Order: sequence, then C-alpha cells, then structure tokens
Amino acid sequence: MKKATAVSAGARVLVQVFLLALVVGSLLPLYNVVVASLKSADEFAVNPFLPPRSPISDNFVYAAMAAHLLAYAINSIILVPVGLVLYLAVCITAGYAFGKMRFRLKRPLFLLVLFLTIFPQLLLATQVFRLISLMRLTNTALGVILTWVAYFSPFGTYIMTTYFTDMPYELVEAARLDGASPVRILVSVMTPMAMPMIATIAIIGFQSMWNELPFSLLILQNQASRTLTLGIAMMRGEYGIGVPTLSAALVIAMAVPLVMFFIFQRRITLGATAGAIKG
Amino acid sequence: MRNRGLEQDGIAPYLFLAPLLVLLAAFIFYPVLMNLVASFTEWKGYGAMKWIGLSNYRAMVSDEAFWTSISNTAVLVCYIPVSTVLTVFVAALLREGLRGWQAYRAIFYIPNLLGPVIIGVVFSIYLRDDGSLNLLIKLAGGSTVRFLTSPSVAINSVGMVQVVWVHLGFGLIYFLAAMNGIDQGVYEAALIDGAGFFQTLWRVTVPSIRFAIEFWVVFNFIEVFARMFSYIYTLTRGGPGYGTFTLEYGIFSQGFEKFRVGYSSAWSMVLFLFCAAISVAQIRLMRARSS
Amino acid sequence: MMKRSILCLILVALCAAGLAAQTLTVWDFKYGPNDAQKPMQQIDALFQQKNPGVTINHVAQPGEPQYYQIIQAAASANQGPDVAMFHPGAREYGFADILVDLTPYIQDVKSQFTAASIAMVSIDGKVGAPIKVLPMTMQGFGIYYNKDYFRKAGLDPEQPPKSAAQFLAACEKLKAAGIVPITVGQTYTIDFLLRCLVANAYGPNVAGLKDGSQKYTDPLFKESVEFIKTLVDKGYLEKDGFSRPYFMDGIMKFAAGSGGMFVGLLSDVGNWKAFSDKLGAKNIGYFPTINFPDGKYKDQQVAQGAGIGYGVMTWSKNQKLAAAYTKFYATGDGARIYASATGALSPNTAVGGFEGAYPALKTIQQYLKGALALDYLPLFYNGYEDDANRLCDRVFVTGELTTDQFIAEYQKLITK
Repeated sequence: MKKATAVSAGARVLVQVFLLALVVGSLLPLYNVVVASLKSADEFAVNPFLPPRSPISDNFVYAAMAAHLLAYAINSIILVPVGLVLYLAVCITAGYAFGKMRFRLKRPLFLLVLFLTIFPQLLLATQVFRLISLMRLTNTALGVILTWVAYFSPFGTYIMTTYFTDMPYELVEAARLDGASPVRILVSVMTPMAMPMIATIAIIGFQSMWNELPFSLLILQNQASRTLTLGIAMMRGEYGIGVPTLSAALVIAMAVPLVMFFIFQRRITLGATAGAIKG
Repeated sequence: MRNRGLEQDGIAPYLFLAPLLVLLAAFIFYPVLMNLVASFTEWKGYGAMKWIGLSNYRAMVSDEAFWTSISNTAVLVCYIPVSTVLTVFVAALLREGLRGWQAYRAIFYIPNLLGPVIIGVVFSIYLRDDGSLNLLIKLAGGSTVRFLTSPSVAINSVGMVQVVWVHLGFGLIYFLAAMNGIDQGVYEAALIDGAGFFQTLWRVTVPSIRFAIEFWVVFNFIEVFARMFSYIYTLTRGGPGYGTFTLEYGIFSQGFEKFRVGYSSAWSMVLFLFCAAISVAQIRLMRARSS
Repeated sequence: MMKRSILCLILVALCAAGLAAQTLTVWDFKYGPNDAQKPMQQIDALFQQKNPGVTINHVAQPGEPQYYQIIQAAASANQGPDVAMFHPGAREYGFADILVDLTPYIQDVKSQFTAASIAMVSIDGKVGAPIKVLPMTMQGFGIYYNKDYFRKAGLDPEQPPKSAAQFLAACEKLKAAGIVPITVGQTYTIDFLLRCLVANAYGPNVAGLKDGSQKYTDPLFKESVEFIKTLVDKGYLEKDGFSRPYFMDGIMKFAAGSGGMFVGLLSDVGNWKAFSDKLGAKNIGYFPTINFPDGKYKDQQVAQGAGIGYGVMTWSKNQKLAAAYTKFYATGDGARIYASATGALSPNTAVGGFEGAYPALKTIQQYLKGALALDYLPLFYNGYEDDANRLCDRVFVTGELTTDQFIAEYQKLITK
C-alpha cells in the first residue's frame, strides 16, 4: 500500500477493533449454522447457541441422503461447468466481435446487449418457461443451461468487450497480415492473451449460475434434476425438517463455493479490479 | 469503439455474434414482448388468453399490494447511500495498510459468495423471534426485536442484510481497486498540509473515484430492483403480510401463487420501465466515462 | 413356414410384454420420508403385484404452495405426471382443465363415499358435475389438549373449556402454571382457529359466503376475530411461534409436550393419532370449537368432505391404468392401509374402523356424527389461501389492520 498514512497509531487500534467487530458480526450467523448442524433436535431445543456438547453427524447424513442434497450437489457440479463452457464460448466470441471487429451495426447491437443485461429473471420467467416447454426441454440439462447462458451472457459479453477494446489493435493487424482468418485470430491470438479476464468472467459466471433460482425453480421439476440451490430454497416447503437438519444442509451447500473461493481467491480480486478500472 | 475507416469485416462479426443474439432474442427479447401482450389479457399461464384491454392496469393501480410493493422497493433504495458510505469508508480504512487487510477483504466477501438463497435461509433461522440474535439481545438486556414478524422492521432487515452487508465484500474489492488508481502525490500533499483521515477521504479519495462511486450506485439500483427475489423468497416469502413484498416478488406472487399470469405481466411492465430507466442511466454514465 | 410362425409369435409376445410394461408417474406432496412414504410404498407394491408389468414412479414434490406452481408449470408445458395429488376444492377446480373426468371409471364404487366427499370433488362443488379427484381422506380442524398439563394447571381434564369464558380462564390458569397455553405453528394456527370459530358463526350456512347470502360483516364473525385478537394480546397464543419457518415445527413442539393446547387437524398430519402416539392415547383430549354465548350454533365440527385425493392428468397416455390407481388408493386395501398408518379419516364408508383404543378419536367421531359445518377456505379461488394468510398476518401478527379493516378486506377478497 502506501507509505504515508493519515491515521495515527492510536486510531489504528480503534480501527482494528471496529473491523474485528464487523468480522464477528459478519461471521456470527454462519457460526450459528455450523454449530446447529452438529446438534440433535433435543439438544438444540435446550442449547441453541453455544457449541454442541455432544456433536453428532446424523444431520449431515440425513441432509445428504434422505433430503437428497448429495444428489442435488452432484447435479449442480455437472450442470454449472457445462453451462460455463457454453457461456465462455458465447461471451468470448461476441466480446471479440464487439471489441475488435468492424461492422456497421456494431454500436446499436452493443447498446442492445447492454440494455438487456439488467432485466430481472422474474420479468422473463413465465415466458422463458413456456419457451422451454414448447421446445420440450423441461427437466433437461439443455433447457436449464440454455436459459442460464442466455440470461448471464450479456454481462459477460460486456466485460469481454471492454477488455478486447483496450487491447492494442496491432496484434490483430499483425495476424491479419499473416493471412489468419478471424476464427484463427480469436482462438490462437486473442483468447490466450485474454486469459486473465476470461478467468474473471468464468468466476462471475460460475457464481451466477450456481446460485440461480427463479429459472431452475420452474424448469427443473423433478427431484432427480434439481440443483443444490434449488434444494435449499425448497427445504422450507418440506415437512418435518428441523433447524439442525436444515443447518447441516446449509453447511453442505456452503462447502462448494467456499472451497472454490479459497482456491480462486486471487482471480476474484483481479476481477473486481477490472470492473472498477473499466467502470 | 470507432470503426477504423470504412474497412469492414464482412459477415464474420455477425457469425460471431449469432449465438448470443439468437439466445437473447429467444430468451429475453421475446419474453419481454410476450409480457407486454399478456398484460392485456386474462390468462392462467396455459390454455386460452382472453383479451381484456387495460383492465389489468386499472386493477393494478387500485391494488393496495401494488403500491405497498413500490414503497417497499423505495425503502430498499434508501439503503443504497448507506451501503455506499459504509463501503467507501471501510475501503479507505483498509487502504491505510493495516495488518491483515487482505484477510479482512477476503472474509467480508464470503456473504456475497454464498449467494442470496443460502443467506436467505440462514437469516430466516437467525432472525426469528426466538432465534440466536434475539437471544443475544435478550442476554444484553433488550427485548425481542421482531426482525421478521413486523413489516416495518422486516423490510429493513432485508435492506441491512442484502443491500448493505452482502455487498460490502464485493464493494471492498471494487473500491480498493479503484482507489489504487489515485495519484499518490496528491494524497501525500494533502497529508503534508496536515489533513487527517476524514479530510483526505473527503477531499482527495472520494473525488478521485467519482466514476467508480457512480457506477456502484447504479449497480446497487439494479440489485434492488432486479436481484432481490431469491433472497426475499427464502427469507420471508414476501411477508409478514405484505411487509417484504417488493415489485419483483409481486410479479412472482401474482403469476405463480395466484395463477393470474395476465395480471402479473402488467406488474412486469412497470418493473420493465424502472429497469429500462436504470439501464439508460448506466449507458449514459459509460459514455461519459469513455469520452 | 414354421420359422415365420415362431417369429410372429415372438414378435407378438414382445409387443404384449412391451404393452404390459407400463410406467405410471405419480406426483405427491405427501411422499416425504417423515410423511406418508412408508404406507404409500406398501400400497404401490400391492398395486404392482395386482397389475404385473406396471411400475409406479412415485415422485415426492414439496408441499403447498410450491406444489401448485409445479403443477401449473406442467400444465403450461402440457406434459408431466400421469397422476397427481390435489386438494379438492378451489385448488382442484382451478386446474379442472387438465384433469380427467373420473365419473365413468368409478360407477362401481361411487356409493361407498359420503355425499359430502363426492360433492367436494365434483367441479365447483356441484353434485352431478364431473368428478376429477377421488377422495382419500376427509379433513377438519379442532383443538387438542394435553390432559396432564390441564391437571397441573388445576383444570378438570375431562371437561374441555368449550365456552369462550371457560377457554380464556383455562388459558390464564395454564399461563399461571408456567405452561404455554396454545402452541403456535405459524400463521396457520390462527387460520385453523378462525375456521373453527367460523363454523359456529355460520353453522350449516357457510356456503352462503360464496353466493353472497352470508357475509363476513356478520357480528358473530367480528366476535370471532376479536376473540383471537384477545388470545394474541394476552399472550395465550405464543407470539414467538409466528416466525417458525416450517409447518411441522409447531406440531412437533406440541407432540414433544411443549404446550397445553394446539389447533390441529383431523387427518394426515398433526392429528389425533400423531399426538396420541407421542403423548399417550389417554392423555389427549379434543373439542371442535369455542362456543360464544350469543352464538346461534354450538359445537359445530368444521369439516371438509374431502381432504386430499389423486386425479388423472389429461395428457396421460395411461388414463385407464391411472384411474385404476386412484381407485386403489381411495377404496379397499389401499385406503385401509393409508388410513390406519397415518390416522387419516377416510370418507369411504366401506373402509373399516380402527383397532386400538384412541379416546381422542372416539370424541372426534362423535362430533362428526353430529353437526358438521363446511370449511370455507376451499370454496374460493385458487390461491385464496395466500391472500387470506397475508391478511391474517396483518391483523393478528403485525397489528397493521384494525378488526374492522380486516373484516372489510377479508370480505373484499371473496366478492371479486
């Protein structure tokens, strides 16, 4: 960071205390969930708050098997990466087209894409569902993946567009002079160079798809096809699930994003950086 | 983004854009259009559509639930300045080079990472009248706060958690990166002049990241109008009563809880107008930025 | 020649086998592991035995209201299960377009069902209209009480506090003895209690609410609303219970011995069997409603002719088999297994009574023989329950509405 500072030593201690308080406040709900997941229903009735006196793993077993969370997790783990691949293909190609290619309708089309980044899923849900059912894609991986890609691509495209725009045109020029086709330029030259940004939209796209609810709620009707996020959202409608079991389900659901976070921490940081600088 | 001279790339760009444009046409453009059409009909979501002209809009304007949803959304909008101020402040604090600032930045990001569904369910347990937070409050001598069972408090719970707390983490990363671009010289000059933390914050930092702040505000507007559903669905189902019933939730409720899809589409059109306005604002900001 | 005949025979055999190998997909909101899954698996196995070559694909779906969202989604896709469970009444009528008329399939068993149940499963409740769901249970609401706790509080366990004054006094005594007077599930506790009180307010004329001959502006309804408000204000209805997120939380709490009284159901969950099995059959008492001194009617048992049942979807390719499946659950062995395992009350008079001594059940059966009042909730539109519950929240839980405002809004809901 910087060498000069505007904060005195004494104030620094205060700041640390303040930040620590924020951290504790932030993590307290999560601590509660973890602690509850290890208790039996009886213990939870008596001791909802402190660490468990006799921790059990039954809740996890129930959540994973009887409540099907393991099956849902597997669905998510398969669906999201596949969707991600399609998403990246669409965003990179479109981003390159907007960022580096020249064509008359570029500006109006780009504005259109920007305009469409905002709409909430609820606005589209009924009609999207009708579309999916007309195409006989309800309950299918393809149906939900197409929807996710369609919905999340505009934003990814926008990010890739700004990145490609800022890349020096000379690279493209050089490749063209070498006689390369647009596809070759994209695949062999631009994509490798854009790796940092691609990693960024990959993370954004992953998070978006993993946590998506409204579309999955309607498209994935069978238990067999549900995602983890959907499973958690629906638990409120299930009979007979108490807080400890629900907490175990939450811990399972939290595990994947947290693991991914610790692995890809740096990339996420760089990503928001790009957002800030590009605006 | 200027086209260099008159040399065009022929048909290739359109081929590259085809997948995206086809998907957008089918999954976003067409649905919005169909919503417009459906808003003039009475329809169950399947079967026949019955044309009823402006009846849905008339009913909507005299529907108390509609106006409640607007006012609830307005309350959430009021949390945007709170979020902005807090995030910029904490970012500036972290920027001072405290020990472990990276750890703080990482930990604060976790709520954002977990996603609205998990956060919603966690807080539906945590904020109950007999939940852990109320237990803590009672231990400290206070009385039960009806986070989820009082409509006036509930909507604020939504604001505090989803608008402020969840976005803090993302905002920190965002603003820290933006603040990195501040001219070190100006900053040091201010310090030499004897400026304290808050003065440098107000006179140097904030003006330097003006664009970043503007974009952050627009981003939050989008979040409030268009990305609250998953959280509210898992937290309170729009309740108690209509306490956390926002415009987004109303669309869901009319369409999928009452099965009045035509009516729900009328509400959708209102939301569409808000989103369109925000989108235009965002595009204008971007144009100003790049010039 | 011989080779050809053999080939033909093999092909015919394969075709027959293919035809006989049918799968029936069934959607259910009662198939959860803590719900009716076990008896249903038994019944399905029996059905598969009796119909060789048939496989039942029984799918557990979440409960209301998500269940009906999924049904609606299936309707707009015109594809989905062969058989689906429904709540007769507004829910069923709202989906009449996608349900098959079962009348031709049930001519041989129709007389086994009570008239009330047949009326309720007929579209719009009109006798003679198409019957689109076969009733498996009849439903109702009432107040269960824990006799041990009554003794502890100094109340006579054999004398349920049936009058308004006695009820309030009983609550006060329970509270004084440190017992939660009425365990609360969620807002549905108030919803159920209101339905019990409405039964006394309108008696046999409840259906008048639908055609406008009766209104919620009746002073007896107002009395009921204010009575519930008193219960909330005095803390007899445990306030903390309203933010419990799950339907079963309150039921499990009462079954675990955490309150003096609970407004429960007659069939399926939260009923006489569930509580008797957990707290001791001799320990559970029951009374159907609270009597007001100026009320025209007393001790009305609020009942729904039919609680749940299966219907056949119009897009099903196995309609005959699907109809047979719904019959299997509503009559004969299927109905018997379901009723005895879950404590559901069957509207099928040919299904036998229960083994085992359940005093609470005996009490209920006596009331059922007496004055029955129709439950008003299933009379109104598909989705009415959501609107009604939000209104109840606003007057009883959040206090946003006054009693009069609530009554006006409640009336507006049904005079759309």
